[in-house]
Formats: sequence, structure tokens, C-alpha cells
Amino acid sequence: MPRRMTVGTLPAPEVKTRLQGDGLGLRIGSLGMRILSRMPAIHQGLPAAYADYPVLELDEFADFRVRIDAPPGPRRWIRPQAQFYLGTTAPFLPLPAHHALAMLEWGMNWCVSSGMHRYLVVHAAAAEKDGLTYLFPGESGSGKSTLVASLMLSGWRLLTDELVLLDAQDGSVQPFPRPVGLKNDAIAIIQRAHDHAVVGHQVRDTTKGLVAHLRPDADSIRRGEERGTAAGIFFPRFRRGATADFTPRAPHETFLALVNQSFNYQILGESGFRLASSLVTRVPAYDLQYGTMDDGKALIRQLHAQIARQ
Amino acid sequence: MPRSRDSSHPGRELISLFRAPERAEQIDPRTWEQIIATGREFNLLGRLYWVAQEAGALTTIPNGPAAHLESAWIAAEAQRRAIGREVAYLLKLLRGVTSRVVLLKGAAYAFTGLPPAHGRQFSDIDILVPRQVLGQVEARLNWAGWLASHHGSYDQRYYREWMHELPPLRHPQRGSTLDVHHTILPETARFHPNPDALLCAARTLPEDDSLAVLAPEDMVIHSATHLFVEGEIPHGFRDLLDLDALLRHFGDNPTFWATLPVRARELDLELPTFLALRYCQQFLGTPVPAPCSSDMATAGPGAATQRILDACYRRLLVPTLPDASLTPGQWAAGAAIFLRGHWLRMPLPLLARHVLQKSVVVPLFGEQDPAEPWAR
Repeated sequence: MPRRMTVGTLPAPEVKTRLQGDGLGLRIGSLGMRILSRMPAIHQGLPAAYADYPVLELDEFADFRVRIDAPPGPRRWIRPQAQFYLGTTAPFLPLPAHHALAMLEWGMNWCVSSGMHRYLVVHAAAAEKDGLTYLFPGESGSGKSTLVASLMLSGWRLLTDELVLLDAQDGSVQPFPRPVGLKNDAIAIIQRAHDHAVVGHQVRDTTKGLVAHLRPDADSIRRGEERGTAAGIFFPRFRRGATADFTPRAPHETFLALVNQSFNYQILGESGFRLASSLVTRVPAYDLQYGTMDDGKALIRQLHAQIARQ
Repeated sequence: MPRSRDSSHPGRELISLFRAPERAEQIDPRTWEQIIATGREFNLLGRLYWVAQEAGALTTIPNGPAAHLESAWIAAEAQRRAIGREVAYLLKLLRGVTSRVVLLKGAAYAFTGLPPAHGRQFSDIDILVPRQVLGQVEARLNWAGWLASHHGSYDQRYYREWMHELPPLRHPQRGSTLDVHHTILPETARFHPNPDALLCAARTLPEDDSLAVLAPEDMVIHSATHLFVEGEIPHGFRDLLDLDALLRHFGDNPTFWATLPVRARELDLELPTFLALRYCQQFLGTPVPAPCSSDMATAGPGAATQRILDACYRRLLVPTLPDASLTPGQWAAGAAIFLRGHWLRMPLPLLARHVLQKSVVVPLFGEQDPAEPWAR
């Protein structure tokens, strides 16, 4: 495949022209996203967050054409807002204009979780080491994003920090590597632990608190079409002061957790059931409890070594 | 960069794909992108998957766009399963209230496996019950958790006095929407189909004798009425595809074509039926036998009106790329059909009142909510 141009190599005026015109195309994993926007917050924020992503040219297919703009009405001028559109559908309520980039992230997630039923889409992170891919399902606040962010910055390949795409035919994991959404304390923790972390502009007062996006490493982006094979499922649970510990999880409990965290299990019907049940019987699953990020990573390394030996 | 011949009209590309799916091979990636975006907006992708599969053209579609056709197909199949469950609940709930529940539109196609059902994406369930039992039906539905979605006192009156259905009901846990009709056009409309005639002719289903669908001719006439008396047709092309599939399916039986014009006359719905045949032929090449066409010819509007309607529907029935702005022609066509729809559905004084309510009273004073008189 010819080497593609990346967003970072486009001059700023060119980025703006594309966003305002026929759209700026990004290749994310195996998906094409074409983004249209007239908002300065996007013109400035997008090239920073997506610098290493391949550009999808106009003669290539984009899966989703999304738009982020000011919603119609007088608020265009007083306290401007941002709204996310797929076609004419606006799945969210408008947000303050300076939340535009975070909204774009959530909007792109929404596109995939509601419109890619070739995959069982699970709310989870995924990272790979030595050819073994691990899934990290977890409620918001479980610490999964922080954990995979740190793993990525320590040489693991990031497949996704938010949406695991399990191919409904063969169960393989299709990467969807995106800027990792870090919240509140996690931002400083990651910056302190990893000098080379590139964290974007911090956005205050979102529904999730303080939010900033960490740039994925170039290797994870470049290997975005290389599918992973699930080798284990880890349920991280960060609790301040907790001693590091892991306990195996029964397959039926893992099954229920996957189903609860999936966006389209009901839509997939029988094929979703087969996929989830074969996954939980094939790979081991563990609950992880830890009090510091380093403890969490040590647990994962220990379990990875154990699984890799088998 | 290879440019497709007609890349500025993804809607037309989409229509020609429905007519000739084997053309998929010649479409370039940029046009595919626009076709997928347009088809998603107009709920056409699941249907296109099925049409391409039937034609053996699925494998000629590149992997990128094919994923979206397949995704929409999977979602449509899930809807079909959900409809089956909802209808089973409804039957149990309404047992004893009415001897038969008549399924309309999408629910009828899905439940009987009629050709328009394959890959059809829809969310509402429409049923028809006799007017006499409407109150009891509503009470039972409310009791089971179906809640009205329009609470304002004007909206309540609008539906209950003038419309042909209850205010749409929603089941908050399952997220389904249910429209309970007692006839197929507003009471105030210019055409007056007799709902009893529809109910009498409805066909009981072999699976369950308390469940029925409209007779073939009535099903076509109802679908035509829905499309060509409405003022807004966001799913116009999908509805036209429904009509095309129904006509081709029922048309295998020659008596169908003889009965259709007679029945349209009986139900006072000749004009919408005429328009349905006309635009099905024009857009989708639907075969209509000559005797039926000539029988329906007198049902059409005058030549001048026909030219205007053609100009409007030629613009409105073609799906458009959602992020392209409307051309002045499309805007004018939309406005004309909107006004015509309201004009056909309400006498002028009532229409004036409705416009006043929706454009002045509600924006200024908000909805008057009868459930919360203290709210304002």
C-alpha cells in the first residue's frame, strides 16, 4: 500500500479549507470518517489530536460524513454552541462551542455504536502485546482508559480506548484507535508518568468533568487495519488505597457483563449470542483491583506472562 | 480523480441502483460515499441490501459500502423480530375489546412476510380498530404502559376531534411507538373513505383469527393515500418502493388490476391511487396493465395541476444528500406539497386555525398542558 499523507503534514489553511468544503477525511482503523465543520475549535483542535492519522482523500470512500457546527438560531452569536450531525440527525443536545472537539469524539463513537452491526460493539478498551489482545470492559470511572493509555505509552499497541469491535463472523478485534479521552486526575497522572505523552487542550465543565485527549502513538495508528485476537478479558477496578489483587471470573458472569456493555447485542440477535458465548468460554477473564496505576499495570503484565506461556 | 457521471445526484444514482443493482460495479468510491450517506438518511440501505442480494449483485459491491448495507439489513431484521413480539403483546392486551386488530403498513408487511418487508426500516406500529372501541383500546394500552406523546390540550383536541388516529403512543421501556387508527384519513379531509368498508374487507391471518391485514387493493390504496395526501414525505422514496413491491406482488393476479380502480372509486381515493401508479411507473418502471391505466385515467387532476404535481414530486421523491443545501426548486416543491397536504386534509377555516396555533400561539405561549394546569 502506498504511504499515505497524514493530517499533520497538511498546512493549517488547507485543513480549514477541507473542513469547510468537501470535508476532511480521516482513516481510523479500517473506517473512513469525513468531517465537515465551520467551527474554529475544530479547525484548531482536530489537526492537533489527529496529526498522525492518514488522510482519506476525496476519491476514497468514507463510512460516515459527519458535521459539527453551530445549531441554527440566535445562539449562533450569544454564547455559541456546537451540535453534532450525521446527515440531519443530531443525536445529542447542543454543547457550548468550546466542547466541539470532545463532542466530535462522542459523535464518531455514536456513529459506530449505532451503525456498524457487522460487529458486536462493546463499550471497552483493548490493547495488544506480543500478538495477544486483551479487552478491558468497564463502567465509566473504572480506570480503563487511564490503564490502556499508560500501557500504550509503555509499548503496547492501542486498539481502542472506548469501543471494541468484535467481528460477528470470526470474533476478531477490529482496531478503532482514537485519541484517548482522559478525565480529571487521570490527565496529570498520565503526564507525570510519561514524559512523551502528547495531551491536547483541556476542556473544563463537560458532563464528564475536565476532559483532555491523549494522542495515540504512531504505531497503533499505522497498524489500524491489523486485527487482534482476543486472549483475555480484564475488568479493571481502580480504588484509591486498594491492594493489588486479581480474581478469576466465571464465563457466565463475563458473558453478562459483555452483553450489558454492548450497544447492539439485541440487534445482532443469535449471532451476537454465539459470538459472546464462544469468546467467554475460549479466553480467561479476571477482575483486577488496584490502588495505583503502576499496580494495575504490574497485574496486567503478570497475567499476560501467564497467558502467553499457555 | 475519476469523477462519476452523475456524482452530484447521489439520489438518482440510488434510484437507478434499485432498478438495476448490477450497476453497482461501475460506481466509484466517492459516489458510494454519497449513496451510503443519502441512503442512511432516507432509511433505504436495508432494502438496497435485499434488492442487491436478490439480483446476485451483493458481491460486486466493495467492502466499504457493503458493510453499511449489511448493517442496515441486520437492524431491519431486528426490527422485524421486535414487531412480531409487539404484535403478540398487543393481541393479548386487546383480546375481548375488539374481535380483530388490523395491522397497517410496515407491521402488516413484516407480519405477513409481504415483499416490501425485506430490509424495510421502520419503527412505528400502525393498527386499525373500529371507532366504537377506540376508548377501550386506549384505556387498555394506557394500563399496559403505553403513554401518549402529545400532551398539549390543543394537540389532544387536534388528534381526537379531527384526526384519524389517537395521539401517537410510546412504550417507555421498550421504546416502541404505536399509532392507533380508526380510519385512514383525517375526519376533516376532502376524501371520505368508509372505514367500515376497509375493516369488512380485511383478511384474517391464518396464524391468529384475531389478527388481520387490509385486502390487497386496500393495502395499495392506503399506502398511496399515505404518500400522496401527506404534506410532508420524509420517507417518500421508501414509500414508493413499498408501493412498487406491492403492485408487482399482487399484480401477478390479473383480477387485482381489474379491482383496483373500482375499489379506489368506492373508497373515494382515486386521486392518490392514480398518482401512486403514475410515479411508480415513472420512477421504478412498475408494470401497470393498459386497461387499468385507462380505467384510472379520468381520476387524474387537470393537465395544469398535473404538470405542477409532476414538477413537485419529481424533486421531492428523489432522496438528496443530507448535507447538500436545498435548491430553490426543491424548497418550492416542498412548500407546495406541504400546503397541498394540509389543504387536502382540512377545510380552510380549520386550516387557518391550525396554522395560527402552530405558528403563533405555541411559539408565544407554549403548549397548554391539561395534565398540569398549575404549570403556567
